[in-house]
Amino acid sequence: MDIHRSLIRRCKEGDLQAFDQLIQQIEQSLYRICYGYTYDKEEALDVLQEVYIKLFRFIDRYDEKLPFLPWAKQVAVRTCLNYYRDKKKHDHLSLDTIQEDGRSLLHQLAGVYGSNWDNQLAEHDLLTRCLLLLPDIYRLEITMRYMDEMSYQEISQILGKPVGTVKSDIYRARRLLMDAMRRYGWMEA
Amino acid sequence: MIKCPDISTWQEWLDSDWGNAEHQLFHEHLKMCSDCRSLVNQCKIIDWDLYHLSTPAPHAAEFERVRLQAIKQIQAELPVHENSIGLGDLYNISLGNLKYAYYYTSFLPIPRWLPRGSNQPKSKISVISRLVRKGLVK
Repeated sequence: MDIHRSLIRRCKEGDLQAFDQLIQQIEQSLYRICYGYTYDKEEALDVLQEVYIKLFRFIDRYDEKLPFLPWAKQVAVRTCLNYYRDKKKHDHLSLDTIQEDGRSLLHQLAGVYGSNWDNQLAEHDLLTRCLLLLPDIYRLEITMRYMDEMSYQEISQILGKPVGTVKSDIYRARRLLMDAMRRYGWMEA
Repeated sequence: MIKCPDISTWQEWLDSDWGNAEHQLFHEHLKMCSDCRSLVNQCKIIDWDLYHLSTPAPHAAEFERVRLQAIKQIQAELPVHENSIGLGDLYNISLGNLKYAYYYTSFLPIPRWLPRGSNQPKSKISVISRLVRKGLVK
């Protein structure tokens, strides 16, 4: 996406009209990241608002030699990660003690939704709920990979992680999702 | 036939940034091994599901509302520019003026009351105040 340099320069000078034009150009991409993190439209819009404020606050730090959108996405990712850290909204669904084989994820799924919850949920809902139970960073990586269709290279640049780590995180997240789906009969064991 | 690879290898294979020969080798394995075939199919299903997870797109008006709210909040955070001038401002302005005054009077010949051989007066304020007293500078 080509964002006019003069627009960014005007934003750096504090021009709010230019800032409005700038965020209008990238709102869809940033919203997708926020939604992929919250899986709730209203909450995603709340986070998006927070992202805009941070973008304006930190636009002085943006290096104009680099493309703007990846930088803006980086700000969005950090805002998403801080959002729940600050509000501690998902405490009851925390997966900090996640196991390699995904046992704790399955245990929590069963605990939160009851033993016959698989009958009540459509596959899409099930996948969404499983995604919400993934560790924050896995969920963001999955979102960037699948919803934003970004390459491993791009994700690694945004998160400041080696490409190999991003790949293994995504593989692990997919494996956890598969285990969860398998456990509840949506996939063959 | 190759040994059954683990799930990460299969996921990497599905991402398919491998060379043709290696890719073919694993492909051959899939034809022979039903366990791996089932695993790869499950990986593909998860991939497909994830790619097709819908993102409810907000209406343009909702995006606009969020932008306006953000801009309102930014405006509230911006420092307010007052029209009044404080004592500190006056002090800084007068200091600046003195600097300018000295700059603009530097073309004048050195006053007679300065020690001979000295080109630079030691205190700008004292020089300027004497110039003002003598009526050379207003």
